[in-house]
Amino acid sequence: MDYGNKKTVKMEIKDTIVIAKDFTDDPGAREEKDGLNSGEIFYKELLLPKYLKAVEENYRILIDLDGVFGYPSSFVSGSFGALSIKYGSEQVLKHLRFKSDRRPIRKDKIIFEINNPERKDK
Amino acid sequence: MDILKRNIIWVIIISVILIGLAFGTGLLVKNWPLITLDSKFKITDILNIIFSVSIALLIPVYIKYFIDKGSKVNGMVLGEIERYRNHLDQTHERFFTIYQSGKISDDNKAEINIYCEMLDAKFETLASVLKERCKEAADKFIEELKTNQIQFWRGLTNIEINSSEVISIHPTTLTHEVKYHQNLTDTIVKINLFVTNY
Repeated sequence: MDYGNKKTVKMEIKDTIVIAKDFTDDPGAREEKDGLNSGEIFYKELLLPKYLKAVEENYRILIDLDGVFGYPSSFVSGSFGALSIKYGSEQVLKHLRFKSDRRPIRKDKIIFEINNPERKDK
Repeated sequence: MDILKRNIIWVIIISVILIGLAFGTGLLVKNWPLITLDSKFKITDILNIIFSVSIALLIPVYIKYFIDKGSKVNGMVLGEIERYRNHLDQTHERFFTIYQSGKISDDNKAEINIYCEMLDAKFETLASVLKERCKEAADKFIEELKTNQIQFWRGLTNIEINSSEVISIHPTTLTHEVKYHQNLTDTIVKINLFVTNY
């Protein structure tokens, strides 16, 4: 399976999001109405603004996935999946890089979601 | 056959040595009258005997050491496969119990997420010991396991479970979970066979 991280385009990393530090170490569900720390809030308040700036100034954001006790698929879908649905997987993967020293499989999960975003109305 | 394929260089070397020995023996037999026993021993002859006996004793010990070592590492990998399989089955059973209860609480949802996180930890350990033991030959199995595990995680922690509107597990969601669990089980069986025969 091609998870997308192999598509290397030379672009500088100029910003970082450490989810555990910058957002929460306990990610919630997909939507705001589902409770605290939802993917939707992460998307609206942190991911989208930083992503748009990265696209505008043509750089990459490094997303550190460590320090969190697990990401529910619904959180990933409400944040990275939503970004992929709106801007396309290729564009999203061009501007985002992922890092997880403790659980490398997390990178694959998120890239899988970006490549195959789960739609709410499926 | 796999053992032969993996040790093809040794098989060729041993074959050449055996052919050489057979050829040498033939020459000796042909020239038998030329061979005489000498009752005088030189120091080099004694050293030669000691050296030959040492080699004869050391080679089996050396081979046994590597066989034992390989067997211990295999045992460790099979142990990790067993632990992974046990945790996978526990996750499946817990999910089924929640389904049977006819309701799912926020604590249940968090619990399922924890089970998936623990399965990730088991995956990382298993992938690392498999890679260490079987090198590149393990890559396709690790990739298959990872793909199936991502599907399993998705099936267990998606909006059909984690949405606040969900108050019980729908039979369709259970059907998906059963399918992903079965895919993972099939892959684990394949890995077990691969490691056992490695």
